[in-house]
Amino acid sequence: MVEQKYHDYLKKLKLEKIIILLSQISITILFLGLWELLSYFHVINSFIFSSPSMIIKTIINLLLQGRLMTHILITLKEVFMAFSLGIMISLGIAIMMYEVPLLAKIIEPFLTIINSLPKVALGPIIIIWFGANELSIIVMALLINLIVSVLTIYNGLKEVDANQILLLKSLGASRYDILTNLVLKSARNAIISSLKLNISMTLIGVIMGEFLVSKSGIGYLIIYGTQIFNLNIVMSGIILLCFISIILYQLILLIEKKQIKK
Amino acid sequence: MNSILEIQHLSKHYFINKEIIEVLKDINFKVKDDEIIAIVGASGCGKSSLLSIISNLLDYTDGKIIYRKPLTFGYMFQSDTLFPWLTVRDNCLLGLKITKKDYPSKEKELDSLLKKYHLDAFKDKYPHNLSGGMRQRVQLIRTILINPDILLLDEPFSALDYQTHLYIADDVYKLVKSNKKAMIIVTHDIEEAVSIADKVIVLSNRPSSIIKEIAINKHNLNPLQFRKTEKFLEYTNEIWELMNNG
Repeated sequence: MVEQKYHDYLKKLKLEKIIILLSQISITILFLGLWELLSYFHVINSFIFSSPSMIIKTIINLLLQGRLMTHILITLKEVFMAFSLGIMISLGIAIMMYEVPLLAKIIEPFLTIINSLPKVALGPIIIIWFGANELSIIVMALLINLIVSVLTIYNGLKEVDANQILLLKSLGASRYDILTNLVLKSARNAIISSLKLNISMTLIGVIMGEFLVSKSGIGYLIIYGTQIFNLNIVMSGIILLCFISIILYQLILLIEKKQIKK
Repeated sequence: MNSILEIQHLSKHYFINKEIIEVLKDINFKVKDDEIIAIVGASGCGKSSLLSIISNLLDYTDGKIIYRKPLTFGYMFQSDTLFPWLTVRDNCLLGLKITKKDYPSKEKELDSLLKKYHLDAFKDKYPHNLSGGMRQRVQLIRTILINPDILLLDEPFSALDYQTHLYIADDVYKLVKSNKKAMIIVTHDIEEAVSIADKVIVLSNRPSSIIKEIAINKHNLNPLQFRKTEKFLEYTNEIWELMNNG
């Protein structure tokens, strides 16, 4: 009796999963199919709206010309650099704020102000200060990802159990012992959350930077497409960005899963 | 018996915004090197603060603490202080790792303690796999392994069911006595204090001062046996009266 009910329960769970997956696939196919049909029968202007088949053709063409991989790799390189720099710097600042509470009290209002500022407004200044080059793109991405990461990690560090700190202190632990054995480990969920936030923020920052200054990269591809009014290139760039974003996010989820297993 | 620490005219105030809260007032007592002292008092009277002050984790406002020698402390808290990312075994060894004591030599002791407290099958599990009682036993093993001069227990058994509570308290008593260690236990449970301690210090309400120090003569009985005697009831009634009037 129990086994039968358990079997039914598992079956229900499986069925629910299948329904969700099938619905998601159907919505995607329906959307793409409708887009393709409307474009094919000229209900919408394919010159402005493009179509799935035209996007695929454009991506294949760009690939065959050998330009696409360069754009993707350049964007990925910038994302990787801004992401790792962002995490290292924000972890450093958050730890300093945690270790020196007076410093945290002094700089917290500044961080909030910088965080609420639309960073794209700083674009022209960044170009003047750092030049029309890759450095400006990375600085732009850092401006966008850094503050949120600092605040997320810092709040995570503050959440550590006060009695666990007392316990380590009663054992004569140094500040370094407490930081490495307790605080950083207890804040690992916050650190992983900041990685998740950071990766999407970095991608936004890099694309924004590429819009402003670059001569290659997916952001440049999109801007170039707009300038020559080739919406197929623009849409291809956006679709590629979607894929890059999904892959990078999945990589962070993989790190998260590994951490949980530990 | 020598005293290993002596507290003289100790007071503690908390400064919270514009308010001054006096928690402890003119506290005086001595701890002998193999003595178990229980400090009882109502919730919020400053018992835990006193324990933190003794172990140098908290500053005091006035008075003096004299340590006869440099002391190592084994602290056990009311709340769960196990690290969720460490296995039972690694949690037990944490104290040794931090105090940088040689822990390979303690492996055997760890194994026998895990066996004694029925945790040997769980040594590679994580705290979330354990019941409240099991977690408290892991904390006890972690404290015992560092072999401290003085054990400081802050309501250590309050999360346990009644039966487990009695057995673990009995174990702790035997362990402290057999190793000739000192122990200070802070509790609001009068019965626990009387059953385990050689001396009960009764604190008044805030600002807490000592109402009375009561020496408990157990006639060499362990806590479980002592709980069944007439004398046990007499002591608990006396403390109950003192706390009600304090």
